[in-house]
Amino acid sequence: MCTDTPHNVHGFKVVGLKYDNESKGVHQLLWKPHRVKMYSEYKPAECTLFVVNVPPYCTTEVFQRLFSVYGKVKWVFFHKKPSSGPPPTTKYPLISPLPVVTGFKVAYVVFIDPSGLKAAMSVPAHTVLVASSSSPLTGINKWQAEYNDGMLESTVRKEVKDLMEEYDRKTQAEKEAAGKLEADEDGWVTVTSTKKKKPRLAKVGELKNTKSKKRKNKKKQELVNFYAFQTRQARMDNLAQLRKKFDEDKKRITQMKASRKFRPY
Amino acid sequence: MHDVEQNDGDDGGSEDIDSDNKPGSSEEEVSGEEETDEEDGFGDQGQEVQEQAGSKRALNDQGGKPSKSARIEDKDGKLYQPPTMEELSVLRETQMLYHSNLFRMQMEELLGEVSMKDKQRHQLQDWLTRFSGFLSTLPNTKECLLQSTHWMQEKGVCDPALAGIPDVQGRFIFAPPTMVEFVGSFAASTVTKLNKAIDVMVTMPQECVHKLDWRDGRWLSKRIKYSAWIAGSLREKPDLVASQCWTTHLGVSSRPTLQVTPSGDIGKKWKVNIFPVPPAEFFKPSRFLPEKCNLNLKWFYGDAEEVEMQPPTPLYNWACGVDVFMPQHSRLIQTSLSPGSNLVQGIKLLKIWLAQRRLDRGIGCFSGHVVTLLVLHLLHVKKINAHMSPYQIFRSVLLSLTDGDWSVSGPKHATSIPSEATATTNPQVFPPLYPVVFTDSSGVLNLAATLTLADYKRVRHEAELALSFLSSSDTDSFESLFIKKVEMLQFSDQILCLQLKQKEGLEVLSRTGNHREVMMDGLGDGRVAVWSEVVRVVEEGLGDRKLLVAPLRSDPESWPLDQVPPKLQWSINLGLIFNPHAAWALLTKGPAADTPEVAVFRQFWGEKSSLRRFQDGSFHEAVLWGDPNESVGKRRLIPEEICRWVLGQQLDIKKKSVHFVNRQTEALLHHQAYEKEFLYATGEEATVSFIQAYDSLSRKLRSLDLPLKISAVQSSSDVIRHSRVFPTVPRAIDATDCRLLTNRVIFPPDGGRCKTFTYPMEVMLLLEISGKWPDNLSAIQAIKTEFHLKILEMLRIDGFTVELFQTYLRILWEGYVFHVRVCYMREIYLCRLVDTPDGDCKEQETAAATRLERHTDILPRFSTALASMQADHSSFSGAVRLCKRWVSSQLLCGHLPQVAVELLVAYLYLVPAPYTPPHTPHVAFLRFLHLLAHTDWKTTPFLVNLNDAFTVEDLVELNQRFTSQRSTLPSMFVVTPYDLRNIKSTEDPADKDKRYKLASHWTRTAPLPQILYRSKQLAGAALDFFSFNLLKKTVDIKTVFRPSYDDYDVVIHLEDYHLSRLDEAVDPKNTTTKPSAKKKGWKPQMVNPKENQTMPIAMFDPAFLYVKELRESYGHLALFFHDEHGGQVVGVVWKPAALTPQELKINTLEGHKVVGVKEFKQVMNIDAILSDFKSLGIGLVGQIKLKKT
Repeated sequence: MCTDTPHNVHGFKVVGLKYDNESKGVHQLLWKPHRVKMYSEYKPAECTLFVVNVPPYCTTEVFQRLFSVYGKVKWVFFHKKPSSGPPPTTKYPLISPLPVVTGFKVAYVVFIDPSGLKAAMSVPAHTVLVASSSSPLTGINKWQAEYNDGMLESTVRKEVKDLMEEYDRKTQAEKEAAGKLEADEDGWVTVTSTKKKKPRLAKVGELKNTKSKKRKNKKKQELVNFYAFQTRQARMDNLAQLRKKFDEDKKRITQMKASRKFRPY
Repeated sequence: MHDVEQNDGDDGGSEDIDSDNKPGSSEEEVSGEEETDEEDGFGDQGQEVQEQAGSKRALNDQGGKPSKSARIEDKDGKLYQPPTMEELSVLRETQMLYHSNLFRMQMEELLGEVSMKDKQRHQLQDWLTRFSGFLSTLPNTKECLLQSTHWMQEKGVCDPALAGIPDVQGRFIFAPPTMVEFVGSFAASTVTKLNKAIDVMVTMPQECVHKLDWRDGRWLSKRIKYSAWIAGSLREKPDLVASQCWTTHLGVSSRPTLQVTPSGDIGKKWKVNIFPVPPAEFFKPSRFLPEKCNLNLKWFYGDAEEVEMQPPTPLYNWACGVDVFMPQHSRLIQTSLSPGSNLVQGIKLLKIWLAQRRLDRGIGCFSGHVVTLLVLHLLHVKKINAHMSPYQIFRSVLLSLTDGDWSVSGPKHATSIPSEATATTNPQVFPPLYPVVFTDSSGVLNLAATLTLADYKRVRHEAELALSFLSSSDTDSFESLFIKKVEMLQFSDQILCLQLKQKEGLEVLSRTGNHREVMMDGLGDGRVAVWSEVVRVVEEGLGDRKLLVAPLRSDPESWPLDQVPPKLQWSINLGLIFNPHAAWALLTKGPAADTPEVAVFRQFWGEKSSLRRFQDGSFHEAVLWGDPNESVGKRRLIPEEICRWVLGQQLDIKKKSVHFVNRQTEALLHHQAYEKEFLYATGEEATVSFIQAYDSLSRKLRSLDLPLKISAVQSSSDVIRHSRVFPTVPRAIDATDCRLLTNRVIFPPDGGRCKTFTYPMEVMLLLEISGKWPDNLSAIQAIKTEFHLKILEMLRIDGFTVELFQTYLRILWEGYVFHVRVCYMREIYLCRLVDTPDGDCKEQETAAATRLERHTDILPRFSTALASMQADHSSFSGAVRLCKRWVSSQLLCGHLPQVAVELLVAYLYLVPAPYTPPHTPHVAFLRFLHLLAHTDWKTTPFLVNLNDAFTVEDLVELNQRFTSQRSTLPSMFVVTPYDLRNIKSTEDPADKDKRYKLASHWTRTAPLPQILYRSKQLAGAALDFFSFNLLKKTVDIKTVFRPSYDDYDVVIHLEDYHLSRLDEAVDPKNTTTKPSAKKKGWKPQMVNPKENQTMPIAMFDPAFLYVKELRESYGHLALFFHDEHGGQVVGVVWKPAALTPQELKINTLEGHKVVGVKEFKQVMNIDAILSDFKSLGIGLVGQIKLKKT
């Protein structure tokens, strides 16, 4: 690692990270304590380290191992962009799985107690961490494992059932809430629509029919060029139309001229 | 018809003048004739305006509202100004006499561009005065023998006549010409810049010519000597003539012509041809009638015995007659055409049209002279008149070309000029002596004498095509007629190259019987006769398989003054255009067995012909060319087989002198590994068989008893579009290096590999409409999964292999793998709903919705449309796959979207102008390259009118949007009718926006302008390679498919071991099982799909996964290039912005490093990224090479 690399940048510690001992290139990890106004139980400010420029091959396991040097690690969260909120979760990983964070990312390392954070912040200059352990976590092995995992087991059945039950419960509850209308002290019941208004999805055939009907009616009612001035105006309009087209064509011709469209050789 | 229109207009005009005299009469006139009406109405401008204003006021006073009119937006009030007479007449003329406004303006621009400028005209005239002055000062010479050439050598001029002609009797004397004048195009001012030669006629004085000079080649020799003398004298006048050379008149080798380049600026642009002619009325015109014999066999051959009937010498008579009649023609043209008239402009258009087709020069050309005289002829017979617009003249001439047949009896160019020969001419003698006839005013000369039948057919073919472009609305007819050059390689579906030496040519000729006469008539040049014979045999052999057999023309020869003329080229290249319905037939059906034609048929086909019984019980002679289940790829070679056979059989031409351009590029579609297990060839059958499996699967799925009925089964796969480059075929499972479970294959945990690549087809199930679907996206996904599980159970009960994946089912069906998913159309709509802050939701375009719409709605419909394209054009599949293969081989896959390539190829089929639609993959590929190389993407929208589903409004609107919003639209603008949405009404602009919102969505993110530029360069280079090498016998076409890695900053080499698609590579590694080593009668070992119920590893391509990961991680820093078809290399190009240090931004640090001491900057961490390239592809990546800088 070059010696001219700064160690402290805008409050971030700069630490080297390489894939394995043989790799020549070293990435820079920048980290600092996680400080935001909003409190989150997942990312408590006093225990959370915010890391940026995390290379694509870093996984939760890798970070668990790397940061356990500074203290016991509770959680590691990866995000594409910095976010103070809780990590996305899903109850049904098989039906609606979490989107995988790919490429360079940011990480939140949550230590069990604040000492870990302090230890991490007092990391000596020019430290270089090594990401890989014994088994490679990239390349052919990773893709093959992903392929094998692609096939769903029968557990999905249970998940489908659970999800639908939950959904049914929810809609049921909504309906009940709508039905449970209480009278106020005067005995009046306020009726509101509980359903969200959704724009109606128009159907094509339907559309066309009404359209043509309307048009027909209109046409029937209209008298074409009843007065003499109307005839004249129609004629003038026609001329204007021609002129407009002429002008447009002229414009196009100059454009074509510019792109040498008239040179047949 | 045009005449009538024109006359009407004229009458109308005269009426106008009358009615103008009595103002006010127009108001009473109630007439249907709009033209007159209009004119009347605006006849008196001032009055009109007043009246209009007055009436409006009156109306407003009465409280009436002006009626709703089609009034258009008028920015500076110009549109509603009262018109001038001039403007009105221009507008009206355009409406009546032209195709469209734009067409007229384009035509005027073009004519202005190609016409000779006045300045140059004057310069040339000045030059001619000086030239003629110089010639008149030349001294007379002593008389010498006509055959002696020693004086020529002294003057440094080589005899341009063909060697081997017997000595010519007579004497030669040079005397200054009596007259030097311009003739032909310059004199008639029909000259265009596309043909830079100007003709000058030099009239010899009486003393130079002898009364008997028409005999035995004397005149032709004399005119050469006269030109040579002039050439010799001009050598000493560099201030008059910059350079001189010999060329041939219309490619006829017995008529060499002196071509001089005037000195000065004018010589850079124009050349002058010198034509010496005999004095007027010196020879009797009847001497040159075609049936006359002006050459003596005894003179030519020396040994011939005197025969009673001397054979006619039509070609020789023409060659002399041209000079004799030149003054007469020139006079006729100059009196009939006035410069700048519409007739002249029309002739220019015709000449441009011919020049773009390379029909205006060289052997067998349709010369400008013929065009001019044809127009005069049509004028004379009142097919056209002088008032027509150039466009109408152009169209009428094309019509007359397609209507008449000059090979039977051509138009006779009769004029009022009296000629004593007219009476004696018998028009019946022309056709047998000349294949194509167009007689001149005297009735003696056949102007089309140098045209062969094949040339004439080509002209007619082009005329028919041109008329079809003019009448079709969706081609830009102007450009395809006048601007686009017709390249012969892209013109012909296949090309037959016939290498002939003079000896072989003479042998061919000797089979015709009268070869001695023919050779004499051409004064030692019998090439045209040989070629006609070859074309005749090929045409007869191909029968109705061909649409056209067109000889490919080479440029006219020209050679320096002091060199011998180049040797005659006897070889010929024939471009073949096929009739797609008959071209690939396995059988050539002959006459019924009991007819007398049998003998002729048998004689023609020789031993190949045999008696066959047909299904209707009849017996016919027939020739069989292949096995009934021959692949399409092989069938495309049948014409070659036929041509080789008939040329050998009829003309005794050796196999090795025949070379065909047809299979060279198609070889790239062969797949060696598939060949072993399937009758693969170029893959059309594999696609069809995949689709058949899909059909039977969809029947099976429809028969399933699901809670909701399946309303439609559709596919969005490129297989269904016939555009998958290498569709997989059912293959035996090779489970070595893999783990074999009961009915599927997976990877062992300690690392295995998959040797074969299996491509699954995407299938979508649409269910009948039901109100019970949930409104929540994940609940919908759950329901879908439930359906998947249900289908899985049912199919498993029937014994099929099915696997469940997160969004689809993988089904093994008849040896093919399918990915089946249930679709719910309302999901698109649900994705489009966005919550608004006040708790409601509104409809809005979202990326997810668009993606879903594209895949579940647009893509299947688009796929069906392309599949129907394949039904119409059987070569489409091969074409599109070949083009995709090339794009991928140049590492552009991913950058040039596959759908975009498919659309461009479809466009080539829908709008083939200026050609016929392609009938072989090969020619479509060449045109695709041309399209890539020569399209200005910035100014050209591609509206691919699949199934003619665009409305007229769509076309107008899209064109308008393209011009007005160009900068915001994708750099490659390609729209299909399926990209447009259905809307409520066309009047609401918001609705309109919605309709055209997705225009060109296929090319929205890619290609980048840089990629377009690169593809332009690559395609241009490939085209250059083809134009130089395609006709050569030994050339490695694969050169075009081998990419160069020089331009990449980093080149990542991949190890073979894990690459599953190596068999698809341009140069496959394992050459041990070459298909060419196959024995005769060898058949592929078809796998029985019924036996195999093990699911192979599908859609696993490590190289693809690697590149995908690279793009995801480093896409902001670099572009990655890879050939998905067995490419072993990934090319990397850094983005220029990534190479410069940037302001430090913590959020965009991705892959950068921080440098600097006080002021921090970020620079790309190249070392680390290079290490990552290796780390991310462990097991796959080999060497990584950096470009040396």
